[in-house]
Amino acid sequence: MAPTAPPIARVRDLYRFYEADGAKVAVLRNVSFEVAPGEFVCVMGPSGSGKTTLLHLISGLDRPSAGKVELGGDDLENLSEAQRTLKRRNTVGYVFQFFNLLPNLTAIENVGLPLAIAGRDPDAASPDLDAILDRLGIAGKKKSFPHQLSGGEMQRVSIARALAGGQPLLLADEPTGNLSQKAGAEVMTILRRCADEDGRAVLLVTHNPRDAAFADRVLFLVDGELAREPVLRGPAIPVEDVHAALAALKI
Amino acid sequence: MRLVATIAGRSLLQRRARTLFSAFGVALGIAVSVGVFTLDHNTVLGLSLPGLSDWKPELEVHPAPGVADPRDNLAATPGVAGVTAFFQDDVSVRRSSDAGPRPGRVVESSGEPAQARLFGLEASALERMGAVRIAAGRSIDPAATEREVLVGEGLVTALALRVGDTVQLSKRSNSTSKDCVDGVLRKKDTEPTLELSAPILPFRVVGVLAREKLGRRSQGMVAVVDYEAGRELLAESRIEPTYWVRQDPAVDIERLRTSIASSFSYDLNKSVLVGAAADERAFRNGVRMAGLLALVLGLYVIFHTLSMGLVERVREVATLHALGCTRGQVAAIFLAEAVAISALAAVLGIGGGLAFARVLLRLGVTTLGTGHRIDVFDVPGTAVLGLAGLGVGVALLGSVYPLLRARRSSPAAVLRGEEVLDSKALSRGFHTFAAILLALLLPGLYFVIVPVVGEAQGVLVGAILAAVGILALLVVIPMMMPSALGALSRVIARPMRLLAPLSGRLAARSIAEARSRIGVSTAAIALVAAAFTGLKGMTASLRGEIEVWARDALVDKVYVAGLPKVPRDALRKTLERFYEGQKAGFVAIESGSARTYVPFLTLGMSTSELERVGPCREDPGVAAALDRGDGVILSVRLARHLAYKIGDRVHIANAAGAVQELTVAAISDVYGYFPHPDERLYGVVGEGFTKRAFCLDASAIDECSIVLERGADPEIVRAAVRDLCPTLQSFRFETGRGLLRAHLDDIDRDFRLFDIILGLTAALAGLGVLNGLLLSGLERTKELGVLRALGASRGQIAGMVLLESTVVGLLGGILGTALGAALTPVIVRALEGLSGLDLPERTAGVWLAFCPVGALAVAVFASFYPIRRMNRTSAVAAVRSG
Repeated sequence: MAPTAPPIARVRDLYRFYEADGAKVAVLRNVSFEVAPGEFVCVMGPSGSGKTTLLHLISGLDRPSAGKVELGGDDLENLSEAQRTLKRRNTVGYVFQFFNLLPNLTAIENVGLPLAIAGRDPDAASPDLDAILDRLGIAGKKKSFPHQLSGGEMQRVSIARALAGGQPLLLADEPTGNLSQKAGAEVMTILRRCADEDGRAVLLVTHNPRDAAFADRVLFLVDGELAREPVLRGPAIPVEDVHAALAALKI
Repeated sequence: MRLVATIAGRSLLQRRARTLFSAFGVALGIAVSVGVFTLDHNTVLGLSLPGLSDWKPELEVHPAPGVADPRDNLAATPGVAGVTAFFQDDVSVRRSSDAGPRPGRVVESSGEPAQARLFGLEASALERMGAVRIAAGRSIDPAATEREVLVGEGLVTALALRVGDTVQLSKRSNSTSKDCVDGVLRKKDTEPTLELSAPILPFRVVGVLAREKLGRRSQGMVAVVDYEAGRELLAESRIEPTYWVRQDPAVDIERLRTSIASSFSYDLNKSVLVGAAADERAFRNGVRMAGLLALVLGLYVIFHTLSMGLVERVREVATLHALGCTRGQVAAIFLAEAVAISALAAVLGIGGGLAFARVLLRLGVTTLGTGHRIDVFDVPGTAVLGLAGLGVGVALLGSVYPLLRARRSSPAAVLRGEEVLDSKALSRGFHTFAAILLALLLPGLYFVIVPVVGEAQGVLVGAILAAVGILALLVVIPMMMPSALGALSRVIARPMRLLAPLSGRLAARSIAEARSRIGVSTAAIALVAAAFTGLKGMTASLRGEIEVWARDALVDKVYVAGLPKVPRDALRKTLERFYEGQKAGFVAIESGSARTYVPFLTLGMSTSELERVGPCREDPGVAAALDRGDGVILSVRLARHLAYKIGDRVHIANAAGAVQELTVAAISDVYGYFPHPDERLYGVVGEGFTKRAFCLDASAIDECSIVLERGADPEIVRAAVRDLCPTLQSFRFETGRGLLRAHLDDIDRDFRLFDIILGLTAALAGLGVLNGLLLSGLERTKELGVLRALGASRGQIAGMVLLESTVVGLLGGILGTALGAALTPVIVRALEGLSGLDLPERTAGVWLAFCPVGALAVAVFASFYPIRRMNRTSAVAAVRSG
């Protein structure tokens, strides 16, 4: 799908350096791209290539060393920390590799968390939350605590939590990294449907070619830089093309 | 709000053990301190109650002859907050006819006089003395041109008086009391013309007294007038100059007594001064400090638990940030949890503390020793709320520290799985924060306590605070220097690895890595062990002091009381007869029958008896001074309390109020001890003096102590008394050795309250160890799961925790016992300075061995629940969770 509306997220000339043993190490260099509403973008790269850092910068959890991040049309650099938090709350739904469910809350309470954070009553939105759980196939687990769930179920709860807030952008950080192949495929199908049926933009970072095949566009992050070529475009990118691209980039 | 309630509520409910143990920790600290303060409050209140309806100032003072301007002299004395000339007498009060008829209940008509108690006080000093409270109208105007009177409510009712009325006052002459004049009792005011010549003077009623203080006297049938105006009423009567003195609470009563003793005789009002004597204050403050020690310890432990809880929650905080939580929302969640824990703790602490105090009072345990019956129970609201507030405040501070730390950590770094909380930095930060808190808290407590109890208490309180401060420093400093504890850990680890290869290795690593937690747990145990050792050392010194004192005052004596006034000579002859032919006989008879209490217990004794033993035998000059009636022998403790030396002058007011001067001829405990409340604060005078000054006859004995030769059989005294008084049904008979045992038992019993408090403090320290281990278990859930998955048995996990607690218990016990032993002389010297006792150096004895063993037992016991929890951890869940 070609971007036709103003992008929900845009990064320009992004740099992020860290201090390590007194030396400055560049995690991201000169990264620029954008995500349109309803678009499913995948950023692929090996471990340590800066994928997670990129998501942290786009969500406003971290600040760039140089460059610009626009979220929902606002330059995050111009926002105070509190304003960035509100921006994140209203714009971004987050899916973590390690789920990060609150261990003391049940599945339904974890899913209702974004509503509670936004000052809304999760109980009032109970039918909507039930519908989300039902859609993700975990309606029967809504009273379960995280430690009572399987990895796939925990990730579904995590996705449900990201969907419950209704934010226009989903950031998914290696969402299948801790799941079996079958469970991973189910999770990716759910994310694909989020883009297709709900019109949400999805920005996925992964090193799994099978996950990348679900995207509309696949970008490759090598040593902190986005490769100019190739850029794979969907729909229905063949997994072989992803493998070929990785091989071409020697990833 | 919903978010805060959901997450905070769930956290509290899901981590029930942490919630309950945290709340119990604070609650126990609050309960002990609230209990101690309530107990002390009710002790003083309960023992003062008999005197409350009979309001008096702290001292009633008679000037010695030749003292010029005694009033100004007293006013300039340090420690005097207020002074007034004073007299009291019975008066007839009649409402003047110009007041007119009154409605309402009139007991006596306006024509009939009412009988009332008259108090003459200087109008200008009324307010400062705090002797009255005005319910209606105003106080007496010192500059008034007409005579003014304040009347009690009883008088108002009886005569239907109103403010503004005029009453006629006249002295009553129906007194049947007698004066002792030169050893002869004479009826007071026997002049037949007095009633006829007593003036009847008009007074304007300017105020009505509330039914408290002087207004309570004589059921409110009270009139208070200006001293000079009142004197006009008693123009024909002799008034010995007498002054009421109020003590400045910032100055010790001993110092005040010493200051005025050179020129005045005084009567101490003991009902006002319950618990104010130096030794009583020392004991009460010791109890209070023990209570506060529990509070500080509880708060320190809980502060650490809450702070270190951050480690467990840091990922949760980062996730919340990532989901859009503001820092304010996160802060609200943490604060809500701390408020809930603190509120629960405050409720449990206050309830538990009050119940603790009530139970102790029922059992006769007070802050002035055991065996007192106290029927009142009053809650000192301000102190209770203050202590609970302190507990809640510090618990809330405990939640602020993690928040400050969390603010500095990057959510992005946490989500990347980095160790954002440098445990060393966290530990350093905690101890810096705790040290600052202690530095503020300890002086704060000092200033709160010291002004309440008087200046000299500063010595003891200062010593105890210094002890706690040194202990805190000794514990905090090593913890702030991880290398020191690290080296120690390596030393400890070596034998542990040999002892149990896996458990020892794991425990050693846990100790090396969790220095902060180990340090705090060790500190808590050490604090209690040090307090126990110090206490036991102190009680050993007190026991030693009694044993030394008893050699002079007790052991070779027999006390007999309840006799029907037998002549001393008859008793002597009977005793001589009974001891005739015995290997060891009797020496002397000390009469306890002639006794007076102004300004202290003074006993009149026969010098012919005193010459047979002690200073009177060694120095005939002492006996001669007593014989002449111008010498006094003071007990060692009294002389030390009031700073008397041999040759000093002591002023004693006789029965008529005239002051006589005696010289301190000797200071000794050999004579005069009787098992009474004033037991070790007394003076001995010749029987001639008590006869002349108080018309008390020491030659007819109803109570005495009989001095025996060493080895004499005390039972012979019993037989002799029975022979002398064949019709006597029963009489009191106690041997000196029996009394010594009772004294020693008293010390043990009195200090049992400390044992109880320190026992609870030990429980608190155990709770600290338990909390630390639970926290450690939570931090290491994954590690424990992996170990279980790799085949580690429950026993090996339990062994690891047991070894860790063993190290904590032994380190804390040994460190604390060593510190307690080192601090014992400091505490004993401070107590010596306060109590006027010559305390010998003693150690805690067997407690030096018991304390480390007890500390070990507490630490090991505290590990049982965490072991159970850790062994219930699901290996599958632990290794599966991210």
